[in-house]
Amino acid sequence: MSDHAPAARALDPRLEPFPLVPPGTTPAQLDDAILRPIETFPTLRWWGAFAVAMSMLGLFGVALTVTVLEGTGTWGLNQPVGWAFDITNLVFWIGIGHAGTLISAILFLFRQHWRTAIARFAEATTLFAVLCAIQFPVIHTGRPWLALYWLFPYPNHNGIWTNFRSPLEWDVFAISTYGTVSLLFWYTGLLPDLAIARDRAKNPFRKVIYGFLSLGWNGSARAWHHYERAYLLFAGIATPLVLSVHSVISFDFAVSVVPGWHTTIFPPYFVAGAIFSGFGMVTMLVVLLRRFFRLEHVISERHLDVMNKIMLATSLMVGYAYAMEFFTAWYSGVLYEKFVFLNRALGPYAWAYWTMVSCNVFVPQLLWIRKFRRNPWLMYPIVILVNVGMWFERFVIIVSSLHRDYLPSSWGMYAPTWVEVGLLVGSFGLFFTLVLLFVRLLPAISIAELKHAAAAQQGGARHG
Amino acid sequence: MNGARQTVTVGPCPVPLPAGGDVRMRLGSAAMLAAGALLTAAGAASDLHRVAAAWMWGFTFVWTIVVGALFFVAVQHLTASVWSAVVRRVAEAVASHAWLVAVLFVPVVAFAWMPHAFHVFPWADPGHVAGSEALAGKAPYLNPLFFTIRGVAFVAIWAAYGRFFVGTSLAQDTGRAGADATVRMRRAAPVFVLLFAVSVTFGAIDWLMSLDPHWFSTIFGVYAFAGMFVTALAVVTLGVLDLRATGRLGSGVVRDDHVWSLGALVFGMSCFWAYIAFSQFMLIWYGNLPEETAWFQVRFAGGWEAVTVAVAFLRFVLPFLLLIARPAKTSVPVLATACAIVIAGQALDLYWLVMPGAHPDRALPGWIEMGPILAMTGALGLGVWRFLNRNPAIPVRDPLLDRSLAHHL
Repeated sequence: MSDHAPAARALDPRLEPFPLVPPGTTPAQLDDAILRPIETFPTLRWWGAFAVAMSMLGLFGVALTVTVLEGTGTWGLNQPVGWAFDITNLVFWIGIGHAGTLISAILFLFRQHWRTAIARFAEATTLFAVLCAIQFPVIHTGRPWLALYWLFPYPNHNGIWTNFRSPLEWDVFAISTYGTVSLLFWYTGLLPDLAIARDRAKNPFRKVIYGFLSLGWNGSARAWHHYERAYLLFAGIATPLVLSVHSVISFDFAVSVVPGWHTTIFPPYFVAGAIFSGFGMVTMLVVLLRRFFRLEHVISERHLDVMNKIMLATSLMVGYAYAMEFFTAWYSGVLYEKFVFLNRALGPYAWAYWTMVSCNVFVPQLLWIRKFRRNPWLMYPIVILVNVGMWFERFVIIVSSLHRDYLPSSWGMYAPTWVEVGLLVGSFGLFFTLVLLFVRLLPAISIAELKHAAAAQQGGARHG
Repeated sequence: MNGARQTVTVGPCPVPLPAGGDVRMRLGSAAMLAAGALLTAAGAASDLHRVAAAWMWGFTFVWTIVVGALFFVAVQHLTASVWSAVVRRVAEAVASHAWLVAVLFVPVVAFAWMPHAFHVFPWADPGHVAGSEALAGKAPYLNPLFFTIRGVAFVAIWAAYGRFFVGTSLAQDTGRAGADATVRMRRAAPVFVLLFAVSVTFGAIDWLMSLDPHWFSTIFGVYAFAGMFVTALAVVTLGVLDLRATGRLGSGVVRDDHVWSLGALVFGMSCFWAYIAFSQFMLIWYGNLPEETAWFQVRFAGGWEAVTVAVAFLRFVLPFLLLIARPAKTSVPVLATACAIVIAGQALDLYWLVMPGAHPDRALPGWIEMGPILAMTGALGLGVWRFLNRNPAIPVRDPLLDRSLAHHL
């Protein structure tokens, strides 16, 4: 960046953007702070957390084995609720991924330089969340070893094709595109940092592995030029994916004529909810990351403050969607629409509905107060409840719309079996295991980008 | 344009102070206002129903531009944006006309109270409502009194916040208010954006969706917002380009980096509009429920097909193709063309929302239809240029201005 600003007049401190790193931090100090977790032997606390995560993952294995050996009959699904935990978990996990893409792509295009401190970590959670999400539709096919055959269209002798009119087939394209682009974007961003890890490695074994992964990165001007172009292009490609993936997920419901599912606001409403839940998850993990890896100076309270503001904004968007659904159900004058929404709020699943509204709309209003946005102890219960609430949102949409359909004679109730609960808990095990491995094996914060942004800020030249 | 103007120095750049110029723009606006007023008066004498529908078209057009510009201003404060300080005044010039929306709303109240004279809102006619169970069910919401109360509250919110944001920014020009004023505006922005979301949603339901009171769509508020915001961005961009071309912004103040940022926002929001419009259309088409498709049915028959396709082209296809390349966002002819297309797209979109309900058999506007929108746009243009001829075209004492000038991509 060769541009020189005219010497900026001293700005009122209230208007000054917050420092990305504490003034006076040297690049070498950043290297040390961020690479320390991958260059030292894991602590006992990490092993403890890893053991817990692995046990949960073990539960996933058990539940999966039972499902495969016995079939999906071991789940609580029956008429009229033929879809419940499996699709709830799919939507929940795909949603979790959206914060990562928003942070890495959209906030990059909007020149939000503070994103640098959390982008890498958030992108990694995107990849892991997508991995958790795809388990469920694949398991739900009953014979997952045949899933590839059922899901992917390919020319064949019998002329049998997948159903292109089904939004479930669109999901296959949407999610696989999303996963691929996210992986490439994330890996491209990792290259300079992998080279730093390689250059610092003392162990020849580490040097070879990081050297291999860094694809021969040499830090030349040419390499940086290509890198920056690729990064910008990936950000441009990933931006529409933030909107499209969860919109396609919402089509699973909205193209049907089931009251409570068929409503036009679903696509943007699902996207807002996805970003909301993703920020809930990322904030929950980042608070731990900065504390246990002593990164409080890189991910400061001001970073948490901005993340919580985005969470508050998306909470209000989700609240807006709830309100519009209710209003329009009444305004439409359609008997079935009115019934579904009254049944949600007052019927047998009212407890789930009010859990959802409380966790997603009422509780996050505390984030209007600055103290709750900046104090990790105060925000922690809120972000956990956001995760709970967003899981329940999908449960409410799916189960409460299905369990009492047009014919009262076929009404019923749904309750999960231990196998379904095991798969849900187990998917958290898969997610946490991957997160714990990630923070120990790869730099959780983009060192190169952070140095760049911090230098630019201290030079006073780049302001969004 | 006028070399003898007095200037103030902003950072390293001299910026001319207003000295009354831009006769061309004011004359053009005045001519639109006069011609539009004549057509409206003549139309009122011949067909009150058509003029009333045309009034809804013009009113919603001016409403979306002014309130969209107000949203643009508020969002800059909400996000603590720095780069945009230098272009914000143009948006403020538009947003300061929130009072005009309030004035233009007065006849809309009359449409609701005198359904037999104007035939704008079918729900306002008690005889019509009595014959329809569905409309009778909506009467607690769709009735003249509650409609008036809501509308008055909405225009009051916009007028009050328009006065606050523009007034505070103008007060900063004197150099006395300083950073305190910016902090005050940043504090007010989140509350305004909340009120904006509610008022624009229900404004859109009342003034556009309820023209066909049987139809409903939960996304409609977002649809109105998307169209409103991209149009306001296009208006601001055109204003900035014109002021820069005529030297009103000084030289080297608004550089390509700022123009690119505006162009990128126009491009992005055009795509966002397309996303919302597609979501609404595709889900209704796929569900194929008669109570929802009837609204689109009208718009795919009787000559309206061409209008429907034209809306999609003006709002999305053309701006997308014109602006996707990076150099296009700083090329004045390309960007100005794209912005003009976006604004024309908004006018056509509102026409497409309003008119099929009023006269489904007449897809092309006649002279009666053109009256109010010409007059109102002329009045807004006259006001905006008057504002810009009385106040500096950039917020000259905004504490963020130095950094905004230094904005580099």
